[in-house]
Amino acid sequence: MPIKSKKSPFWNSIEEVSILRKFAILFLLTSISPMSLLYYAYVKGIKIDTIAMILMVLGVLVGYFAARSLLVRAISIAKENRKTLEPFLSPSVLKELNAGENELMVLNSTFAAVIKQLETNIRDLQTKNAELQSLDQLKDEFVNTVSHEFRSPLTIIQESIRQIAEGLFGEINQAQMRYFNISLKNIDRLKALINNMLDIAKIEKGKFEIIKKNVDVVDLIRDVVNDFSVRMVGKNVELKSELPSHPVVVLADKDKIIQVLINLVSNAYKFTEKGQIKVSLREAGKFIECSVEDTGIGIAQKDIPLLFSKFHQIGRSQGLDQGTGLGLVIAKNIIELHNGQVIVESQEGVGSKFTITLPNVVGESKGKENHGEKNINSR
Amino acid sequence: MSWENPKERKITVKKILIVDDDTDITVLIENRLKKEGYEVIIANDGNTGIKKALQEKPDLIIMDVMMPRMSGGEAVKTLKKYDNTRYIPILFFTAMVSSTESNDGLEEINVDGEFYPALTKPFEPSKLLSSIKLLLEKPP
Repeated sequence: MPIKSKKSPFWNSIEEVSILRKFAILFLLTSISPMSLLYYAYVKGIKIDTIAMILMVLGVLVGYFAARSLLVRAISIAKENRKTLEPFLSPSVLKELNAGENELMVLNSTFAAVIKQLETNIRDLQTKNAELQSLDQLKDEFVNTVSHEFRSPLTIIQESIRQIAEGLFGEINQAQMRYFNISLKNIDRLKALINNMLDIAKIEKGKFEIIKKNVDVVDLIRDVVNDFSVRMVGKNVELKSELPSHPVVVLADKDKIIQVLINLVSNAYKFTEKGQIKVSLREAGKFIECSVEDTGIGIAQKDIPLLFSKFHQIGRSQGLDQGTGLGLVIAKNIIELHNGQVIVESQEGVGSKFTITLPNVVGESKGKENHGEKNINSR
Repeated sequence: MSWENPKERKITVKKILIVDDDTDITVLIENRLKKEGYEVIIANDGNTGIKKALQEKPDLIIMDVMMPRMSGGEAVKTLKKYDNTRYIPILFFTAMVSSTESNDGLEEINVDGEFYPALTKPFEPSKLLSSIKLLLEKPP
């Protein structure tokens, strides 16, 4: 029990303990005197009045208990203020106080040290975590802002040129048209670059989503091939397709699969000077296989594993650096989110064949088609 | 017969309000939409947008999400308070990434907890026009 007084706790405790001790001794003496009186009477055979006897026995008991309670209090004060009192206490008292507590104290201090260390560690981790979180948030904000800041002016440039090129403000001639088209093509490249970077950012955050619906892959491939045929006019490469005559419906994210196919066909187009690019589709049991095969420069065996690493561009050394080096990374992620695979076969100087596989499953209920089935990549 | 009842014609021409602080964007969309035969009204901030929506009662509002002073979301919240403007379809126009979730051919965006049809920048003119058409044909 702490002692409340204006004096310093040190003097307080010293005084209190000594006073308590004195009183305890006094009480003990007062209890001893009637006891000795009783003993004396008993030995000498003196008869004592019953009331006097009871009073004397009471005196002994009161003395004993008072002394005891005072001593207990003195010991508890001594324990509380042990540090300050230690030099003033007798060795026997100290020994009594310390008895059995030494091991506990050692354990206690060890635990305290461990806990303190753990607390510091946790605090460190918390600050580091907070730092990382704010950094991550900063990165997200940065990606968002940059994409916004890039996209807005890009929209304006693209739309302005388109409107002129479409003749909204009057006829334009062939030469003008040519340069408008060059501008538009390069705006498209910039757009693809931004989109790819955003896709990669999403993939890395585990936020890349696909929404599966029933899709006719034959239809989809036909669209992509038709789109490309227009672009390939004037090049010495033939774009062919080998497709089943019936629809092949699978559960997939249409836009994302188109993205993959465009990537594969434009890669083939980029690396093929003459010959053909063939897009084919076949059903192989539980999977459908779609291949894009070219007669281009091919890929060295050692380079194949590098194809799916970020920002790696095989063609850069050949001066074919049109692209971000992200297309195949994204394509692989998209296909894997569909539980499919991307398979690469290639021979240098002969050509390359990229095959994507997709599970041959059709969503059954109509409701499923409406809601789609979401898959999110998790890393 | 080439005579037309001017009143009848007015009913068939759809009025579209564009609210965007970027005057370059508004003029380009205006060109597009006018060419398609729409009547176009322009507002370059949220407050003017609300005022013009109440005055002109457009058939559709194209609303930029990020605008200084009053955001597109806040403007729409205000429009929902008035009987005259409550049911006008809104097409949000945004460069934000978090907006790509397609539903019946329209992209969607979450603005203050509610989903609205949206267009992401850079927009395809064909997509802009098809989205407008879809929204105008949709029953309120």
